[in-house]
Amino acid sequence: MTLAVKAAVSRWSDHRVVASRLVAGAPAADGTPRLGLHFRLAPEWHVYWRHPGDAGAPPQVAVAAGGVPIPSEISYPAPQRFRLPGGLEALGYAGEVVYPLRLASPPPAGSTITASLDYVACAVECIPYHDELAVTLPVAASSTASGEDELLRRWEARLPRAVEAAGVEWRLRYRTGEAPEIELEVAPDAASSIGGAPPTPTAAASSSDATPGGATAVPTKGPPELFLEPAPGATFASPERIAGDAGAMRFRAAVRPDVAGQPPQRLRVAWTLTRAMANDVALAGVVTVPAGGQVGTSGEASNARSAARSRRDAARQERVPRGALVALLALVPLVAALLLWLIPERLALPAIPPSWLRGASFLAAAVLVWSAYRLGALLPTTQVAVVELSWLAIALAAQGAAAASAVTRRRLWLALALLAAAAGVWAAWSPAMLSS
Amino acid sequence: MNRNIQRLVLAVVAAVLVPACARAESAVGAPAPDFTLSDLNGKAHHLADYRGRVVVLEWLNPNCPFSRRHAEEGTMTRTAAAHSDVVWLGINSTGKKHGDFVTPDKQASYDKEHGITYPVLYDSDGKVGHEYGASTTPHMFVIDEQGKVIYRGAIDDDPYGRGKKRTNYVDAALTAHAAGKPVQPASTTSYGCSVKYGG
Repeated sequence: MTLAVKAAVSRWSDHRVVASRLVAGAPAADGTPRLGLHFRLAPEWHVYWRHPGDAGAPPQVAVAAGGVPIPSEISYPAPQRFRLPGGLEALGYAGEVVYPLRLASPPPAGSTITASLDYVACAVECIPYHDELAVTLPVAASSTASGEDELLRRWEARLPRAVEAAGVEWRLRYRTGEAPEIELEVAPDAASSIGGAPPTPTAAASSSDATPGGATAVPTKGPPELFLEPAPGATFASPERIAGDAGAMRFRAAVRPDVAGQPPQRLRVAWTLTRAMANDVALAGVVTVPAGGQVGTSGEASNARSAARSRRDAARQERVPRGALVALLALVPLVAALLLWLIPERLALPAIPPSWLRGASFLAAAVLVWSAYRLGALLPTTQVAVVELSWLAIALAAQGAAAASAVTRRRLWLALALLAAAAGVWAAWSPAMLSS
Repeated sequence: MNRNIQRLVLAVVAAVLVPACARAESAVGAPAPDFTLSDLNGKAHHLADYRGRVVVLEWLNPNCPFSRRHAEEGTMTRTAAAHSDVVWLGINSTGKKHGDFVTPDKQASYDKEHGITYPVLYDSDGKVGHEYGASTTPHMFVIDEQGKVIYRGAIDDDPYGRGKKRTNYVDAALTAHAAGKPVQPASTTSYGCSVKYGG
């Protein structure tokens, strides 16, 4: 005996580079309908996450049952990051995506659902589309799932799980000051696998799956990625992954206040972390953190040591700001470069060809330029300028010392160089000094 | 010895210049980065010359459907007309080699077709766009009489032009500012095509 209709789909609305349709799966156990907006995209094209990044826009849908509007909410599977020219980035989906769609009030089974859908797809160019999609809700749940139901289930499994429910340890810090930033540390147990593995993609080639539009979704492999949504009063720069404790993932992102110099006193951070878990389930959290404060799970017994270590690291970092560390480390290549430049004229070093010395000194100079670049990201411009002026002073003093013939005068020049070095590190150390 | 000094100075100058290239942003309340850009007739517009007047900057791209829809609907021209004392400047930051780049002639006929009478400035190297952190077309910036940014973000709250009732954020900002009230919201997430920077 054949069972009742298990799933239903609308026709594809095909625009060559992108195609959309409405998918209805078997109703959930509590009877609520399961719907999804299914997109297939040609290579290079993408549609958007809830927060589209620097450009684009998320899809919008107006749902009605028998002509009566029903409020609905689009859910967003964990996104991917796309780099655009000009240093911009877009957050969304390539290849294929199903946005699960939840209705505020369930219409009776068997009714026709219409979705008036607006979205924008972008590759090099962006094209907004409007589609009218209609599907008849399946009447009853059944034991065997159809291809569409399987597809919907697969994408429902890719919705991020709340970090609280996942039992994962995490910690978020919000530093204010000249360059406000947040730091998120997530320490999933390597073996952790929440909610079971997502259903493996099956070769669900049902008859209605003859797809226009292009590529199929390939779960992307790669390092964990963090996605941050704009907060009230501030946005975030693209997060940067930094070294964390073994097994922990640590990310840092600059906070860009909406109003210059006024970072929010309480910052709402909505984050999504992909590829963190053994089973590729994304984690998400929404948390409000006070300025200069920290929130997170309290260290559990098994992780107490690692938590203590992170706390020690944090304390050390607070004692010596990163900018000061970079400024201090930059003195090494600076001194190396100066020695390589100046020594050959004083001391005969027959074993080393001069071209090697020159090469090494340029290498040192390159490290110095890189340090300056790092400083530019870590410190406000005034402080970077002072640090660099100190470098110039060191260089000139060293030059003076090399040129001076009298011992006393040479010592005086070297003392000046040391003073300049100290001034540079000090400028990077104490942000209060130069803040206007 | 002189050559050594030259090298040292060069290295330090390079080191000073590198962080200067780091991304700058114009947050609300911050001074709007100054610029001099030419319009389609070759006339130079210097932002500082408009000090004492409110200036609206609109990042646009005639090949972007979002910019085009607003041009066709007259969103920008109507808002500009409703605040006639405001200086409205369109800025096209599309890179010269990008397929979306339009010649000044094409831009002029597009402007004529859509009743755009405000100057459209060319920023083909994207320098001004990057200084402002313009990321979409359209992307709007409102600058007050003292040269400070008082609004940045979207033109309205309706990315797809479907809503019957829209909030035009720029109109609201200009109205509030003219009445001596604070601009609320002062910052929104803009929508549209990405700015087609050449680099």
